[in-house]
Order: sequence, then structure tokens, then C-alpha cells
Amino acid sequence: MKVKEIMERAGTNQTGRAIAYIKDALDEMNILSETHVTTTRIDINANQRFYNIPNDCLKILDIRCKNHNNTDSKYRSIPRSIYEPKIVDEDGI
Amino acid sequence: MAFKKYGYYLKGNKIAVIEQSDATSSGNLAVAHCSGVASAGDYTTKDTCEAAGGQWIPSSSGSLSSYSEYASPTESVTEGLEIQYAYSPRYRIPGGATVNVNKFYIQGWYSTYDTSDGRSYLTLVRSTENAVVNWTNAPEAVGADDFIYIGGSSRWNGLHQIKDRGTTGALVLKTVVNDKVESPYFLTTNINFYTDNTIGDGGSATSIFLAEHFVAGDYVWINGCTNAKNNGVFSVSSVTQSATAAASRLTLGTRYSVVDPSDSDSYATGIDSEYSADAALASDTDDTSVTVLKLNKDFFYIIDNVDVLNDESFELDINRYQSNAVVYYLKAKLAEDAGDMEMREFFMREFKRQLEKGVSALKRGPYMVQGFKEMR
Repeated sequence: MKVKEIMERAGTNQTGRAIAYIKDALDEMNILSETHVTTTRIDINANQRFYNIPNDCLKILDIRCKNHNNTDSKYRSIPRSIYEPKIVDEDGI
Repeated sequence: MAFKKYGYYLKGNKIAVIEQSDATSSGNLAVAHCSGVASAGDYTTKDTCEAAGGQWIPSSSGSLSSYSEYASPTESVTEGLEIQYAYSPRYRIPGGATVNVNKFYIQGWYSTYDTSDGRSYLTLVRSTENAVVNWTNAPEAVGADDFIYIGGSSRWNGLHQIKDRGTTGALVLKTVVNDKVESPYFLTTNINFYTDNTIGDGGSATSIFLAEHFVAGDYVWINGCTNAKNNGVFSVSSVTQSATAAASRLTLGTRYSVVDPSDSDSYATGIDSEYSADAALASDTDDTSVTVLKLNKDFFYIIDNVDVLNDESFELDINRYQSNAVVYYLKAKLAEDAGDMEMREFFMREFKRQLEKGVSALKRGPYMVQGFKEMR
């Protein structure tokens, strides 16, 4: 459906405001029910603990690591730690 | 590949990946014993155990101080972390993506400081084996102010807009970079290149002690040298400190480039991969407009000519049922703006109901539950 049709159905002719709210609606849709899903892969570097969350990420659905609980180079979901480990990452990288 | 145990936690806007150290049996199962046979406890030596058909478990030793502790990953793994996430479909990529037509691989990024507004803008770089690319010439001729999609990046995935198309490999985007990290750069200055793969100050007005700004393992972006093989993305293999600027040098290790199918050196790598070879600098000591800066190495791609949600003609990448939910959301927001909270609540409820109905309609049949593999 085109933006124009949505605006007509909602009874508004203010394009800028309608587009802003439609963007909000798309965000809300994906946070509530994940209609658009993608994956990205990041290199793990030795001694690097912190990795960026992708710029367009609204909601993380799964985090997997290669060779987690296997030796076949398969990606498996990794558990979330409730506490930070006592060995801190001193360089903060 | 080694067996690993990872975990994660969230820290601000980052994912902290942790890895469990190798488990040792000290203090728990250190005693040798027989297993897998009836009356296993009667067999106290390896020979008698194996003669009875059992398996002898030897004693093991290890340090209790490192027992199964979680710490930062101990080993580098290419594409070792996979993140699945939901995103907002504010754009469409019409007609698919073809490498070197509307899809171009990028080798890394840095931020360009704009003195006119005091902001630092995301800048992407791309170079082939024989030249840094000109973003205004085919095939990389992207349109001014075009929207692009970035994919495969460890950080910048999503929609961006072009700010400035450079002729020496750099593509500046309107995305502001807010990092407070040290990122040394030296623009249009005198840098000398030597055949032992070192670079150093070439007599610039303000002495440049390169070795003081970079460390081994950094990546640098170089352009402006008249010898094409001296330009591009390089790794720094070592630094040589000196109190003399010209002797304060970086030793370059590997040179990286995107694959040019017509290049005899790199074509066999495949256009979806990055070509790398040992740096082989040509002697050059008379260039005065060389740029050397620290690069955040990240091999990803951009797609040009992306349709973006910014006018009434944009076709949303959602189905008709979901579009109706968006109509309810828009009505709710308009009611909110008008101060009619009752109407707002009604339409917001309809929005969620419509959304849930759309998702539920895709589910069919009985459910099953998978147990853990350890369950019997």
C-alpha cells in the first residue's frame, strides 16, 4: 500500500506529519511482532569483549556464535549472562 | 575448530561477548577410575579395567584458579558472532543488487570533521589493486544525495544518505559519528615511501612522528601518492620510534583491495571477497599531498539507488493487512494530537489487534515442545 492511500484512509493531508507517524508505526510493528527480520555477522576478535549493535536494529531476536557447544562450525544461540563476569575487560574494548 | 562456550550480556549500546575458559577437572574428577562396566569400582588399574571391557578414565590436573571462568574471547573467529534482529522497513531496494553495478564493497570507515558545522561524518573508503576509486566515475558513479543501504557491516547496517562523493576513494555520508576515540589523521602532507615498506615524514612544515600515533595492528588509509601501489588500505605490522621525524616510521604489512574483475592479480579472489597481498611500496619521496589516517577496518557493502520513505508515492514493504494496522496507528496519533485520548486508546487497541491477528493467521497446526538434548 502506498503512503498516499494510508493518508487518505486516515483522513489527513499533512504529508510530513503522516510520514513521521508511519515511520513510528513501522518501528512499533517490528518491536511488537517482528515482521521484518534480518541477520548480520561480525568478526570476533581475540581479547575484544564489546561489539556494536547494528545501526538499524530495533529488537534483538537471537545472538549466535560459531562453534558454541559444537565443533562443526555451526552457529548456536548463546545464553545471556545475568551478571557481568568477575574478570573485567580492562581496556573497555 | 575448537569446541567453545560463549555467553553475552548487554552493556549500554554494545553486546559484550564472553567465553568460558577450558574446563579442567581439578578438585572434582581428578581421581582415575573405571567406567562403563559392572562393578567398575573393583577395577583399580587401567589394565584390569580394560580387560573387563570398561573404559579407563585417567586422572587429570588443572588449575582451580582458571576453572570455567568467563572472560573476553580468547581467539579471533571470522564472522564468529551472528545477530538476528528486527528492523524497520523504511526503504526498498528496487531490482535487486548486482556487484559493481549498484552494489559496491567497502573496506572500512573513518570520520571526516566538517569545520562548517563542527560535526564528524561517516566516511567510507574503497580501493582496487590499481587505484583508489573515483565515486563520480562509472561504475562507482553514485548519485549526489542518493540514499544508500549498508549491509554486512559490524556497525553501520541500514539506510544512509550521501553527502559528498570523493574522487580519491572516500565517500562521505550524512551520518554523524559521535565516537570519542582517538583516530589520528594527517591530510595532504609530505610523506615519504620506501622500498622496505616503511613510510615516514617527508619534510612537512610541522614534523610528523608517525610512530607516535599508530601501533602495530592498526589499519591505515593512504591516498595522494602518485604511485598507485602506495595508495589504499594497509595494515601496520610494526612501528619504529625515533626522535627524528623522518625516522619515526610505520612498517606496512598487508595491502587490501576490493576485487577488480579486470585485474590480473586480484580477479581470482572473487568479487564478493577482499583481496590481500604483502605490501610492496615503490620508493617515492617527492609527494606533498599524501593523506594517512587510521581506518576502522570493516569489509561490507553498499547498495545505491534505494527507494526511501520520504514522499506519498512510496510503496510500503508490508502487506495489505499490516497496512491497515498502520492506518489505525496514524488515526491514533492524529487523535492524540487533537487531545482526544479516548479515541487514541481505541485506535491504538485496534492497531495492536490488527497486528496480532495478522501474525496469528500464519500459525497453523498443533504445537510441539522440544526438550533439552540431555533429557531422557
